[in-house]
Amino acid sequence: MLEWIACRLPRWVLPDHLTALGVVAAIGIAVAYAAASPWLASVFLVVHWLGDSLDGTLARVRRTEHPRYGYYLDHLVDAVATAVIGIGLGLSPYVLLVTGLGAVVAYLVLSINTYLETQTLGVFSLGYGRLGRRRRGSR
Amino acid sequence: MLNTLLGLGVIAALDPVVWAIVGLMLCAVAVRAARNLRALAAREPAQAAP
Repeated sequence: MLEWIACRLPRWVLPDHLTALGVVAAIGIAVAYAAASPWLASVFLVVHWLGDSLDGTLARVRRTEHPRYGYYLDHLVDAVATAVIGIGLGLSPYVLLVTGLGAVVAYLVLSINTYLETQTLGVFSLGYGRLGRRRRGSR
Repeated sequence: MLNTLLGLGVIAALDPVVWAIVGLMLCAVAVRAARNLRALAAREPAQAAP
């Protein structure tokens, strides 16, 4: 589905624009949660997923990949987005702030382990058990 | 609807659910780290003292 969308995007839309869209949507998710608007947060979640997933796909479809640039930017933005969303969730009436921050810390520990595995074992796997993606393309 | 859920205390149950997920995540890292450390220790035998 992502490739189908990527092939139909106008030429002026660049992968970095989609990355930026993902960041803006992450801020939107946080603000929506903090404002106790879970439905709006859900809409922003879809936009965030699109921006976050489509940037690499667009680069691959157009054969404009920059693997190291994409790897660095993608994972940096993931970490920032996770922190922003966790803080927004923590500021919402649904969970305590410490719970939202606890979720962020756990996610970042998983991410750090993945990056250390990449360095020491030469393996990049986002899957834990049967959950998550096994491999992920970079751009 | 949200206020109803809040009133019924359903949403208050979210904290333990999130903490349970956090616990699962940390357990998954611990299991994976143990496996990785065994693999790395086997790959890199301890160096002899000079």
